[in-house]
Amino acid sequence: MSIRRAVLPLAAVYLALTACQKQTSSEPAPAAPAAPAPAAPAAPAAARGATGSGTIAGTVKLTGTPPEMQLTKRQADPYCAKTPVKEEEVVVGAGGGLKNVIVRVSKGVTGSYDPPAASATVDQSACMYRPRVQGIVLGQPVQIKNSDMTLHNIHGYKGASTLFNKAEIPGQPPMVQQFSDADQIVKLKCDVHPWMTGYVLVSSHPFFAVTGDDGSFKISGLPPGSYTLEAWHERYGAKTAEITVAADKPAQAAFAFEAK
Amino acid sequence: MLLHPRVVHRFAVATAVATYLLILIGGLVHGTGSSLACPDWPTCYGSLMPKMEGGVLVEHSHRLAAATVVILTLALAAMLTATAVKDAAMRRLRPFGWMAVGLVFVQALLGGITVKLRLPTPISTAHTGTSLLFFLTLVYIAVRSRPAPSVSPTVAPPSVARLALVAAVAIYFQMLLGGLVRHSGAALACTDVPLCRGSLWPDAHPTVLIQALHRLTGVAVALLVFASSALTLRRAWTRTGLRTLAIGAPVLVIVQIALGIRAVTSFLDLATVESHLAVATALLATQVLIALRADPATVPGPVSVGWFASMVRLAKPRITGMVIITFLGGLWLAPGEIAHWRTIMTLIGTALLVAASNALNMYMERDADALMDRTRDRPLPRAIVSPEAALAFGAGLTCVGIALVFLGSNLLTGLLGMLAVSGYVAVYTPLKRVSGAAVFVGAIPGALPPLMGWTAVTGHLDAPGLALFAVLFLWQIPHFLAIAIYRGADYARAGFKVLPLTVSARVTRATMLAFSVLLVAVTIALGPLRVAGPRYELVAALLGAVFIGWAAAGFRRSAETRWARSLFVYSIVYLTLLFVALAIDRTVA
Repeated sequence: MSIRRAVLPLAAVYLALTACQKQTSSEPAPAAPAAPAPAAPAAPAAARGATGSGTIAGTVKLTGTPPEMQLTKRQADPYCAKTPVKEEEVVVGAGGGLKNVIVRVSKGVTGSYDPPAASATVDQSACMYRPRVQGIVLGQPVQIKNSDMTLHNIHGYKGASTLFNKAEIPGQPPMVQQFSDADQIVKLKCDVHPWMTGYVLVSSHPFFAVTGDDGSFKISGLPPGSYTLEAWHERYGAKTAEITVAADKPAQAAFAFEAK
Repeated sequence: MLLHPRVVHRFAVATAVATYLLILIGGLVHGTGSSLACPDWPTCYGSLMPKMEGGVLVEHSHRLAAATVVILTLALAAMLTATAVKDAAMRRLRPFGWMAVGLVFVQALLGGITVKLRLPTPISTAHTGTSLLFFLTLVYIAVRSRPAPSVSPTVAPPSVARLALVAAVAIYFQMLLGGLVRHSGAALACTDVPLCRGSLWPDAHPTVLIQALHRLTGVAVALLVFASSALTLRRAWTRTGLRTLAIGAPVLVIVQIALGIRAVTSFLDLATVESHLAVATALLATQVLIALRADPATVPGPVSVGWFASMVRLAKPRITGMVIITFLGGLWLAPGEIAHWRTIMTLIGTALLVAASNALNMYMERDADALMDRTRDRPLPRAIVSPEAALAFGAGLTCVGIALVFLGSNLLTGLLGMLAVSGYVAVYTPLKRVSGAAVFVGAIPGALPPLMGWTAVTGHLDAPGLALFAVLFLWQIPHFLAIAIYRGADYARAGFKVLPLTVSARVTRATMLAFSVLLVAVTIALGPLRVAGPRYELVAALLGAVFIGWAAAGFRRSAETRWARSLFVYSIVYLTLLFVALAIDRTVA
């Protein structure tokens, strides 16, 4: 009785899966509907975003025993093999500070912000992305540079779907990449060198930071108010905290991820 | 009975189709980089229904689809068990139903382990391999549960099913290698096509070689599928179902090669990589369907502990072990260093190739083996193992053995391994029925393993390596002719043209003596070639003198078989002591 009915749900799952790929949003939930126009002058309708003198400072820590990072398995490419480098998925500094965590205001900021004049850079150096994790403001171009004497391809993912996939031969001038949607974390992969992984936060506002070697971060220029702060790590996922920022006194925030 | 066999058949077809889709979703998990989107298992972020977006959507859909297939498989096994009481066909399929259940649970477990351990290559590749075995089990049940048609179709000659079976085995292992390409990160190890870093077999890290091997074996598999289709079309033209499959398979092969090339040149475009998996799985299905439908009557024998033991017997473990000792001898004597992992991979690969040669030889000689006292107890003449199982076993061992030797050592050793298997199976085995000279051909593959051990270390052919090959080659002539003399009657009954049956006893003995003299000469030449020192020389000369004397004694003795038997025994003692002397000489030096 149920033969055809058994096949249908599965076919549906498969179809939905392939069809939905292009529509899924990435891991951090969008905070506000992004302004469709990336270039600031072309958005007269959106109100100018406010700035202020408030700051949020704090640290992100990893509790428990951090996983040991192995050497990247790079012998297949003789160029990369010249420089042994360990995995950098989990980098823990003094006092358990967790490096490369994106801390950003995820709720409470409205209006549009101009991108900084300077472009951001991702350098492919010694077959690693430098920096591994960074944030940009929507509209800010990203220069992707190949400093290696080997071929890289830069495969950008939004969630599970491909945003772009381009090759860069040694000596090629940097390619410039623009992003059209805000409040997403774009994952960079090199398919030639599978250990290479990088992340670029595309933010609608400038209120974000990436933790340094000691796990500390500082966000400044915020108008006073109440915000939701989100800390995101590539392995341990996201955590949020509610925070109130005053004009005169720096607000403190602390996040802790558990090693597993 | 509520369950009509037709219902069971349709349910089996549906489960097989569902599994095909599940495999494709599984391919998307890796293709979209979603393998670790859920850090935990079996739940995702501690939930059965997490927020379905990004990688989580792909990974968790794969898990939900897999859970559906587990339920379908359990239901299928239950249906087969319920109908088995009245229906003999279902009774035969019942163990396969439960085998599918076992496989799907092993598969789920492998999926879980690979997530927990953060994607170790061997586990992820095993996940690919088990998925295909599970799929094939369902295809088998689906085809064999089909109620017999009122008009039974003409049976295609057995060669059609057997060639398709060999092609299916080859595709299976090519897909396993494809899984390894994917999971070891070798997919773009070389970005040029068709050459890999400017060469068919680049001098590069094994990761690159995985890619190079997948390309080369891809060509071999393509040729096999073409051959299978040609044979099916020629011998079973009237069977429309088979004809469609045979016409479709080469088309799939060409599409598959194009997709493989595009996967590299597009830097792993998702749709291309996914189609490469979809077409491969479909191609595997075409060959299995041809093999199963060509002869609807074949049923496998019961699979038991005895069956597995018989499969091991097909590999002739004792002879394989002895050949491996000669391989290790070559490896040990060769000058230079070799990494341990290379030694182990090449050793296992060579052992599998020897085992494959033995199994395929037994498959080809199953009729003759039934006629000889010495061999009539073998698994095939006793029908413990079906010819198809033996053939698939031999073909599978060949695929794995060749891959291990190529990846573990070097191109030369891999080619020597292929020469050994093809020489033994495709030249020596058929030649035995035609000419007594077959012994000289058979001695070549027999003597290749020590040379393979040598070249695995040195990477090239040189005089000492060839001398080692010559020792083993020459030694086999008196050794095997001695067997042929005392087993003459047996061989005659089976129709083998061994030398003592085709030429006079005098000529046979003269041949044995001549090769003994040559053998001793070469063993002594190992000294001047700097393979061994003076202590070894003394032992070789003494052992050799006895060998020549023993061989010469054949001209005087009247008790022919007793002499041949004793020479056979001495030849084994001789070779063992000779290698012991070589090993001691080398250790002391």
